[in-house]
Amino acid sequence: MQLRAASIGETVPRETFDAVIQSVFDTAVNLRLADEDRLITLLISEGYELPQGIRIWKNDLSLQTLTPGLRAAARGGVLRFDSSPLAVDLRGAPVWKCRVPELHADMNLAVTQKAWSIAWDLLNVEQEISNADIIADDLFQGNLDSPLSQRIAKPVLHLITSTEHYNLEDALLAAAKMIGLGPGVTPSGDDILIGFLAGLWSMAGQDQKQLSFIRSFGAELVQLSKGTSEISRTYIYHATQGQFSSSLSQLAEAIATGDGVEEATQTAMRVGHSSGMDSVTGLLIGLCIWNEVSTIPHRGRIKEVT
Amino acid sequence: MTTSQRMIKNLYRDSVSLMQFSEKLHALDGIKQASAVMATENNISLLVEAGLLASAVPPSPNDLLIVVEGRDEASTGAALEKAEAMLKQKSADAYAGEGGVRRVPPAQHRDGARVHVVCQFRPDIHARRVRRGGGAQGIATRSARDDVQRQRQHGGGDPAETLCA
Repeated sequence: MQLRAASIGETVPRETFDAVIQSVFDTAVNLRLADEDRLITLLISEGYELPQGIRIWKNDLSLQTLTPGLRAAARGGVLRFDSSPLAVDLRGAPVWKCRVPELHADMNLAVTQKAWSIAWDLLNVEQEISNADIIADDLFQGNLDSPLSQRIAKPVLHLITSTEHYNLEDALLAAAKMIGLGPGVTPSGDDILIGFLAGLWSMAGQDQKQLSFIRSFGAELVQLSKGTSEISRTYIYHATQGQFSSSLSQLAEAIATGDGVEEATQTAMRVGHSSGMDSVTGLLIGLCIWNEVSTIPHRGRIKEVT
Repeated sequence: MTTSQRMIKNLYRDSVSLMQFSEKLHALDGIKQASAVMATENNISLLVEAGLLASAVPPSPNDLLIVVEGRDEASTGAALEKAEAMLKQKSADAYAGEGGVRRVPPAQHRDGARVHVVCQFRPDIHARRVRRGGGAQGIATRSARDDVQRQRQHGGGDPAETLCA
């Protein structure tokens, strides 16, 4: 059975590549590219995009013949798998590109601040309702219920302070305490870091000092990410390049423009069990860096604590 | 009380199955706490700090570390055997059986794949949060909470589409 790819992430090779199936999920398969320390993902979805994603959309499609360890290869723009009739035609598929680095979000605008506050409130409510380990408000208020939140709060606050002061060494020390921390194949600490980078990339614009910090921090973070799962490492790598999932990108854009922030927040939070909420936590915190916006909740508190 | 642990190599599961896995593990006779996390250095350190691991084990970030605390060694040993059997059963289901797409109602927002292993189940924390009444942002938060609940009741929004992680 040959399907046409609905879209392809910008970082996916288009014509020729060799890979091995790394992991199989209900609606996604990760492929480890030969001779490269990164994964690409074949996913069944109506609209969720990834920088490393090959998206297909077909009801009742079965991936049952795919198992970890099987080889996959693309030749002439068609992806095939050993021992499976499934083939995916990559030719002509639209390329999805994350636009977060082009957003130039201005947190000094009232409309942006309002959008941020709406997202922050929705996030905290959802985290409470779903009994999440990490509740964004609590990181700044000291109401730390779970061992995970107790452990992650301090590094998060140090990450904020050190990034504000362009202190790369301290920011990396904080990140090292977050990498691989928490439940999930993309642990909460990783998700917060990914969201945090999304916040920084959203605002950096043409500011060379900020961009330089993000790139230096990212380069070292890629090294630190060897301490987490291979799947999470892939997301971190793309985050350091300014590339994020469509749901996180759309939330960053909604905050930057003030349009559709409620829907975008809900969508971004629904990813996984807690990954979406953790990423949104990181994004909203990241958007508070390098500006003096006192109207944002906790802005003063962040400074006070750190 | 005693604790036991087991490492399962290269195991990736979606969040729904791992949630169910965790609940089943916790419900086993004689088990007080259960945790299943990727065996990263920071997670291992957290488990040691929480008293669920007697001492650090070598990190292995692509493997799943299951830790149980129970009444005695017989309870924890039986729980780990059961855990591994459950995971292997799931593996067979996932890779040779249903295999492909699972559709779950939008209200549960689980369309796919962004995978999550389970954290500890802690009824004490849940109860405390319920008593605390959720968000602490006054009217704005209550309004936002209502929105969230309303969306859930109506199954609003697209299902989350994710990716294995």
